[in-house]
Amino acid sequence: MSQNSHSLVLFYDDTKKHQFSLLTFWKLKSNDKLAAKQYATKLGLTLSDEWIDNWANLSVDATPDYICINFDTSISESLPLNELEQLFNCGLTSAVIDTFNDQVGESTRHHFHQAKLVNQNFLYQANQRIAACIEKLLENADEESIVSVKKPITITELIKKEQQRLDDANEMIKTMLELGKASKESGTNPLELAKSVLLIRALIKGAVQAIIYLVVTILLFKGFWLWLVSGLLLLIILPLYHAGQVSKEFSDDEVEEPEEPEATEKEIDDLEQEDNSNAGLDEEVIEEQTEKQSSTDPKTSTTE
Amino acid sequence: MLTEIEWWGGLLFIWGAGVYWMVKQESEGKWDLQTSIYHLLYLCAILVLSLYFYAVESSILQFAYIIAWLIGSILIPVLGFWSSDDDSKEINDEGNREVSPESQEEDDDEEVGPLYTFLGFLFIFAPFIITFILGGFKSFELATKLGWF
Repeated sequence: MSQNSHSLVLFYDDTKKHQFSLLTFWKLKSNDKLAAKQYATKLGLTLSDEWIDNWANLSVDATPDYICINFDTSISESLPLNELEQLFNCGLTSAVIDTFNDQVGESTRHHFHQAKLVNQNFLYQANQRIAACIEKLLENADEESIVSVKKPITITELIKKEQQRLDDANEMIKTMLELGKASKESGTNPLELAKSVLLIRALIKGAVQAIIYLVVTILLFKGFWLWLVSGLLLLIILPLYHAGQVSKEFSDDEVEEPEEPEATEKEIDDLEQEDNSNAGLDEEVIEEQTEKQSSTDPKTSTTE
Repeated sequence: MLTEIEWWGGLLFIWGAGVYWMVKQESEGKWDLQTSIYHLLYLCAILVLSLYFYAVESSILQFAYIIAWLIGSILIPVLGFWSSDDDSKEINDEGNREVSPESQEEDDDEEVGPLYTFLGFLFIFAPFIITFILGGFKSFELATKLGWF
């Protein structure tokens, strides 16, 4: 089964917290959950069962400077953000996490300082011993795999974004499924059905906006007839405007379909040869993608 | 009508709300110093324009009105110059870019003349300028009442 392999390096300024943190993960590694929870409580950490279950194949390596934890998670959890947030709340100063996704065969490296996602240089400048430790512990990463940000982002913000992304993805899948079901039942083209649904939504949106305008202006300002007439005009204009935007988007999509250039016979031969050689590879990629999708979205697989 | 605000005051409010919506779309939800100042300007403008239609009797309110008017009047030029600074920065950034003939043509199409810039500026700041001119008269009246003049 595919999984993400993480190497998490923790840096504490406070020696006591460093020790308690090390003992917590050490006990967790020895599968002594009770003792691990006791040390975690001393650190101020609530070590949930979910956390313990999520982090598999735990191994710990430590010196007075750092604690390096290697563990595996399912591929649905790209970064253990919730756990990192808790650790930062309990006195963690900085952390570096290297995640290897064995399905894609790529690794990514994130740098955190004071509960914020920062750039590598920023972290190394803040504490130079971190650079030496990371060089010793982790393999040299490509520039592409190191995550850089324009300005520091708090972990709380990252968690919110991740949650939003998941919600959006679930919502989209749900809508697609409903749309597919409805088009199957009615026997209409799913694209036309989607267009009509969006058009109705746009009309309602425009009407609601105009009604809000009408009520607010009539209640708040003098000049009843002015607001009534302008509100009624908006009640016609706004739904039409929003509906126009939707139909424009659809017509743009139709126009933007690329025209296939005429290919010469030689080019066609080359393409055919390439296709034959890639056929096996394509099938593998499709299989991998389906597997990834089903494992990243358990809701979908259960719904289906 | 729940308030004493005249129809033209209502128009100014709607205009301001439209500008607020546009600025919010432009800022894409990010929160920086400029956006904070914009919000402070909106707050001052709402206070100044709403109280313009009422007789302000309490001395504390009179004082608050004058302060809000002063803050708003200072913020308008600050924001005006701020946005023009950003524009020039953008132009400099573009200047550093390698310019191909095609992109130059596109740039020519996108180039906005000073008249349009001025009209855009007027569209964004006119509701505030009108509000604070009206507020200026009222503030002067209130300051006289408070015995400052």
